[in-house]
Amino acid sequence: MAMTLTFAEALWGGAAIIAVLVGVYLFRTRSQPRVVGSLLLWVEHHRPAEGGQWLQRPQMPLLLALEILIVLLVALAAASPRGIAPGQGLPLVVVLDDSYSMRAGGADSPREQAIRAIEQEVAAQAGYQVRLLLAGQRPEFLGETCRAVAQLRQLWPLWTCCSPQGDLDLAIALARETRDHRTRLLVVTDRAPADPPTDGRVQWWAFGRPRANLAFINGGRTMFGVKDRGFFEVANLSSQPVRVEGTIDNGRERRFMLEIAATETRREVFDLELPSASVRIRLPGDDLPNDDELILLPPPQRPVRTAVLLEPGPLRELTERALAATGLASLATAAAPAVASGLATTAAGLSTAADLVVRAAAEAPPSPGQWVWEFLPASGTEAFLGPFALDRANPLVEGLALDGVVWASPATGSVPGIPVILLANTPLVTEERLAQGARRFRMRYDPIRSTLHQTPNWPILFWNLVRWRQSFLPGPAHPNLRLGMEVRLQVPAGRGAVQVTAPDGQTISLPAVGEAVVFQPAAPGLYAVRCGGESFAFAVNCLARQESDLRQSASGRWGDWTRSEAFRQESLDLGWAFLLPAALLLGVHLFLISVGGGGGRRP
Amino acid sequence: MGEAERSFLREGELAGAPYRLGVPHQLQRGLAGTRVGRGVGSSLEFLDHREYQPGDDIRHINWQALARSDRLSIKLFREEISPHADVLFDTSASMDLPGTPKGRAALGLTALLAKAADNAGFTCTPWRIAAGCERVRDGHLPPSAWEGIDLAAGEDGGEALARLPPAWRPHGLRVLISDLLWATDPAAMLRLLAHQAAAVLVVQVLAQSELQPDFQGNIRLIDRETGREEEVFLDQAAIARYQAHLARHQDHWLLACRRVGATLVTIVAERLVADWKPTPIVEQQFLTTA
Repeated sequence: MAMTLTFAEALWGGAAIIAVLVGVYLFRTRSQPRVVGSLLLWVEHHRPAEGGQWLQRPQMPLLLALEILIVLLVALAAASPRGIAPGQGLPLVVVLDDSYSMRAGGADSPREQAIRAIEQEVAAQAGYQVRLLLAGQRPEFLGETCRAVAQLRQLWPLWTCCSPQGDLDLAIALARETRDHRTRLLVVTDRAPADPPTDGRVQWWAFGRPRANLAFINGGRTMFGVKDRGFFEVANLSSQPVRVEGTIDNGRERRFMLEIAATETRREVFDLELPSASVRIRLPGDDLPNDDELILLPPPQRPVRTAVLLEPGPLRELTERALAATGLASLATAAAPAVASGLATTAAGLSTAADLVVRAAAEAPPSPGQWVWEFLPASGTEAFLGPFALDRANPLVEGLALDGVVWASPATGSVPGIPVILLANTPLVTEERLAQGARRFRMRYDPIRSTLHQTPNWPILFWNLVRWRQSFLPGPAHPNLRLGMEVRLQVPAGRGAVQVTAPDGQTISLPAVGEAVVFQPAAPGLYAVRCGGESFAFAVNCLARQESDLRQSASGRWGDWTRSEAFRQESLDLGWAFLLPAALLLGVHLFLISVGGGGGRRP
Repeated sequence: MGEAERSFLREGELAGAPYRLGVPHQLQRGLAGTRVGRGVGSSLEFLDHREYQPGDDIRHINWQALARSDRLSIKLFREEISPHADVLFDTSASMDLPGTPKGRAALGLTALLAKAADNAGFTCTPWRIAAGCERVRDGHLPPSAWEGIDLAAGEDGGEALARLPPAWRPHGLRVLISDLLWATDPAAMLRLLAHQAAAVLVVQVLAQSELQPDFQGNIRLIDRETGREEEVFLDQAAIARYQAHLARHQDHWLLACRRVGATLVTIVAERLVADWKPTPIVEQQFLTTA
């Protein structure tokens, strides 16, 4: 039966009493030097005739030994020892801080110390039924219930400590809700608790140590302007100023030097020599290597392939100019004779390969994943100054201001799709979502009698269209991510899954939900994505200042399971097992005093 | 020799001025059973007759009486006594017990007896027991002029005496001054001391604390001579046992003295130095007032 002391403080009291007891004994038994003429008459023992060494056994007065033993037993009884019967399980949820600060220090990191401490606890106390609960951005149970250290060791590799944040409160709340009241909670982290646990159900073990750290906390690159440029921010998370030399590798490695005052942040902007290449920026290694490297990939160069299949005229010209002005579209325009003569082969070829098709109204449905913008016939139109109603939730109308715009459109009649822009109750622009990612937009517009194309609203409308379409092109929406962010990978229509290769070389297949795959990278580094015949890449960086700041790391243990009511109910009071021997020894002590046989040495 | 020892000797010398050393009026000679003369004589002098006993000197058989009465009788003579005193005193370190006047009393008593011997017309030879028995340098001078005396010898006086006994004069008076805290057999030593002696006086000088220890509790006893230490717990019972040991030890000496016809007296140092009156010795008639 394993025994637990509910009030271990009583042992300190016992130790103090024993110390006083021994002190009094030593004080009473200290020897006074006294010179005598001869020991002849004082010493009664007889030396052996032969020479030899006197053997002096260490002597502990019997009464003192009994008194110490009695005090010890009473102190143990006062500590309220309680035991749990063999075979009775002890449910335990271990909340593991999964933030990457737990890896600071290498082999002596809080994670390694915590593993050793947990294994010692499980090995010392039989009956534990351990569930591991990862506390990252979202809590997550690991594996099954473990009853032995060997089972725990199979799960430790899953505790990667790569999260930019360990939401311990959320994990504790989950553990409280999903487990019964008997379950003990053990939180292992590298920080002290804001409020030490007092309910007797939670223990908080911290294994951190304040350390100085130099970390990237921000970074990015841009392809706009005269030259492609990048920037990064380095924080000196220590109390001393530092002078550090790092490297920037953009096809060719070069060095940079930074001087950063204590607790300050330094931003550095640099030019990219090879805009199409990735950039790796490195700081000298320290206790926490996760935040010492920054990878910046170039933004994807993905123009929207656009086919304009309009008959020559003002509308076609206006449309082509607006599309060209976006800079995001690669235009493919069908020759005027082909459109006019209805050479379907040429138009169909352009239409099939395009991501966006601008055409007159037609019955032909868009190809899978294709967006079509159709201008409806403008016969019988009337010019209106409004009132216009816009669906502001639709990305198409972002930035549009139709006040003062004259819009010529048929006054009546219905248009298929969801209205995006309305003239009173008459739809002017509608959106229709079709199968396999295809969309069809319809617009009723007479360029002869309207002024929309004479206002900034016209290029804005087509910028919004092309930009929106571009966001649905295959691949990651953003090439550079912070650890902890979700990656949204747009997949081509009809593709069921993508293969993602993590920085450690492992490749996993992720199923697409709709037209996208969304997942959260577990570790920093460079990820490769293969989807059909296309390949993409994105980078994940540790850029969490709070996690990189190790100055507040602490160690210690808080909380006591034995104070919980549940523990009192499920355990047995073992105090009598100490009080009985104490009473027996007390009787022996009194007997020895009465007969005077318990003293120390006598001459 | 320090000034302290010299002052003790001077003190004893002054205290001995009123006394005369002598042989007690009646003193059993032990084995022979003869009477010895009181005072000092210079020749064999007929004193008495008694029945012959085996072992008696046949030269003293009264042949005329045998012829007359057919009985063996012995002529007893007043024995010639040499007017000489050999004074042996123990200079072991135990005689100088810290915190007590034991050393002062021992040296003072030695000087007192030497002075008393001089007063009685005795020649006196002082001997110090150290590594052996050594004649005191300048011992023919008054005690306050003696040299080479210090109470620091680290050897058992009994063993020293047995190893190197003094060449003392026959038929003289012999005095031993010591605390007698010796592990050697007193009988053998006293036989040596009493050989051809007219009288033997053994004076045991002890401090009051040696007779009645005034300390109790946990005591670390330190042997004055050997430096050996012993941790003991002393209570009334332990003190009583010590005193019993001391009494038994003194009994051994007393018995041994009786066997050789010696006289044992015990002097308490504190009492002696209080008035310098050696009452126990006076009572045994070895000292008389002048």
